[in-house]
Amino acid sequence: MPPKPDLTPRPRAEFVCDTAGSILSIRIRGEIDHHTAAAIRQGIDATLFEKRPKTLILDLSAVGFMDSSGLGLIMGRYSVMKELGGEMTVWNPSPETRAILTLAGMERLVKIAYPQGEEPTADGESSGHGQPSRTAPPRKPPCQRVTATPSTARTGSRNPRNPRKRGKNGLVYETDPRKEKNA
Amino acid sequence: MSRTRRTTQFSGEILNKIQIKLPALSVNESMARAAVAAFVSQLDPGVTEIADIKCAVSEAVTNAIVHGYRDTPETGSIAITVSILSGRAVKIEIKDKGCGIPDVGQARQPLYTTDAAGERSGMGFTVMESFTDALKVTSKVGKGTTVTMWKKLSERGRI
Repeated sequence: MPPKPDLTPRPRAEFVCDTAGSILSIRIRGEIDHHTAAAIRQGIDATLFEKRPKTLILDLSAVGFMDSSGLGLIMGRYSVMKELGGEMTVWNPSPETRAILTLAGMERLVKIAYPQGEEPTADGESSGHGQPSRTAPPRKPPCQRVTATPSTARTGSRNPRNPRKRGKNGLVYETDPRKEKNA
Repeated sequence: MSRTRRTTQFSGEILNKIQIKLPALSVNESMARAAVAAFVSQLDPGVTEIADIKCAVSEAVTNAIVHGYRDTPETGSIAITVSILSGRAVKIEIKDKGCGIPDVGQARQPLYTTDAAGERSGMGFTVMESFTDALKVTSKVGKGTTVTMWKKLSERGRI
């Protein structure tokens, strides 16, 4: 069999961060699978340990696909937030991700909240803790964009809890176009 | 070892079939589910049905990459066979030649994983089972694993 090739990464998922006080909002866009989850996980953990928020809002409204790797991603970030003494909310999961969240019973682990009037109607299964939060994530433009690619997974630190070892080379930072537009 | 939990029978005539062979690389996970979804789309499935199929395929392919070939230094291969059966049913077979599963029954338990350090949720087989109508897992240690899934589509299309 041929050796494993070094394929050029193709970004299929990215996330943007926005901080408002002790609240960190992370909006993930794209598809979350085993391939993309590693880079997203490393990037989010680096941000979490740098900013140490009291509340993490994981915005899944722009996630077009998610398999059980996404469940692992959520459960892992829940553990990190617990370690940091904070709490976590999954915000407005897209219809594509609700089924697997419900299947895993994720609402029993973390709070799942929706914008007012947009809660799923089917049995109300996706409403976390019975009483969905009405607090929306900050609407300000994100502070920076981190593009998650397989290269970040390979070059980043293998210890996601210690972002100091990761270095800037492990992540690709880009200027957010919306921020430029608003400037 | 072979186990079939559901007894649903899908014995329809094969109307169309494709075979895909791809390297067991994580970058190919999206291609695998997209290819299966594209082939199944000729049945005009519903959005939820396509989403279910894509998720189930992604889980099976990921399992082959993460677990099946975890100790293999070279890139293994994954063979995917998709058959459209009469009666608007789809059969998807995903086969690897990896390390195999010693105890399929245990592996199919929700939350069971052998890769806790990698933040695997252990929900792979549960997702496959929930998002399809029947699931069969055949595995032999050292030889590989074959996951076969059947999905019956709702009556809405032309076929």
